[in-house]
Amino acid sequence: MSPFHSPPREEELHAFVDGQLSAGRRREIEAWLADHPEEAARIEGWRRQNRMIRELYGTVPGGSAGRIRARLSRARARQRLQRLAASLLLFAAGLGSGWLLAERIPAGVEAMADLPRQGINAYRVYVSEVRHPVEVAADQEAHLVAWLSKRLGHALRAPDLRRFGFRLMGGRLLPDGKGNPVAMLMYEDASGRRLTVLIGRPEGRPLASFRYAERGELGLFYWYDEDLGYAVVGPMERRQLLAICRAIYEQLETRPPPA
Amino acid sequence: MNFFDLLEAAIPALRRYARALLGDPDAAEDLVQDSLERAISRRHLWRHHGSMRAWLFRIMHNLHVNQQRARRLRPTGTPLDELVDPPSQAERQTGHLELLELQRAIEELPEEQRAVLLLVALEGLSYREVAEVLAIPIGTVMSRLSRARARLSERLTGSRRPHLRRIK
Repeated sequence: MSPFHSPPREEELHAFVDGQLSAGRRREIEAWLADHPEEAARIEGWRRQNRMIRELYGTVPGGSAGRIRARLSRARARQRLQRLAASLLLFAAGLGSGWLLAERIPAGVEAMADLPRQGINAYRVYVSEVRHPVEVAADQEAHLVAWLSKRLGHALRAPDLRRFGFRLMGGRLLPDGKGNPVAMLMYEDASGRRLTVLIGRPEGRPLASFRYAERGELGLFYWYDEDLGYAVVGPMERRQLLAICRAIYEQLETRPPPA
Repeated sequence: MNFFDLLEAAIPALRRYARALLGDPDAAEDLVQDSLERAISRRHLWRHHGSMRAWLFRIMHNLHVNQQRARRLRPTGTPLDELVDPPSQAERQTGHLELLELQRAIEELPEEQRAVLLLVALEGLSYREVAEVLAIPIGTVMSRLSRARARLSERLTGSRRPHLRRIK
């Protein structure tokens, strides 16, 4: 054995066989193995195992690759369809073509109804709160977003609504009817009008939809997109709320530029 | 390449690994499909990870562990007589016989060792990636790999000797 380098450790012999060593150390070990035929034979056995394993399992059987492909293309199609459906509905809502009905919120019929109902309730409870409307204030926006994302198990963003005169006040976490977390963001304009955005994860996979409802002086839009459900509540008429929802939808659709 | 393209490109590796790990082609196919579905529903988490393959293997591993826990799975594996060709043919092809012996030895490894060996030898993952996929320390990866290889070496040399004697 050459006195210039240390004998390889067991891990290094494995790394040697698996091609995971630096070139320098590889050469040292090669030299060491030349002087140690028994060790060389042992690791040649490993190398042979590697070759045989690839021979045994390396070819992917044809089998039902078609089934997986089909499932993938359905997932792609579903994604496209959801996007299309949501944007069509936004468009139609803008035309006032009657696609959107000012409907009464069905009481507990389907899981979908939870979020809009909660949107109204939370609005009534927290918007009137003067001193503690939010748990985490907007001056800690990064913390707020990270916290809500973590609790919801989904990366969130706080939509920027300043061009409508609404600035982010902050947010809080609410339980939904089933005890799952729902994120609530609150915005306020210069006149003191407040707007809330609720983001939750509906159970099951509700169809993509975009709906409007009114409760007294409050307008509510809600929709579902991929994994998340949104409810936007504010004391304003439909057209104005729709413009805001469109901006929210567009902002959430486009990923933020890499930091 | 977008998410779906990367995902699609990784499917052969997923299927290959699942088959080798589980032995049972139907169970492997189900596991791959479940893994793809989970990956698609969690694609928002994808950009936090470097390698698509390692991410998918990790999803698959977690699913598999959960399913096993739920089922309290009995050890599976195809009975040997279904795998072995008629002896006359097998004896003519020594290489083939040895592959069968290796396959049997791999199936008999504890699954934790089999997973490490396959991820390294079949899928070419780095030790660090294997540690990440299986959520174990890298030292554990190395000791499982070492034990798996030692056991296979024993089996292969053990099987070659009587075979040679028979030929004489």
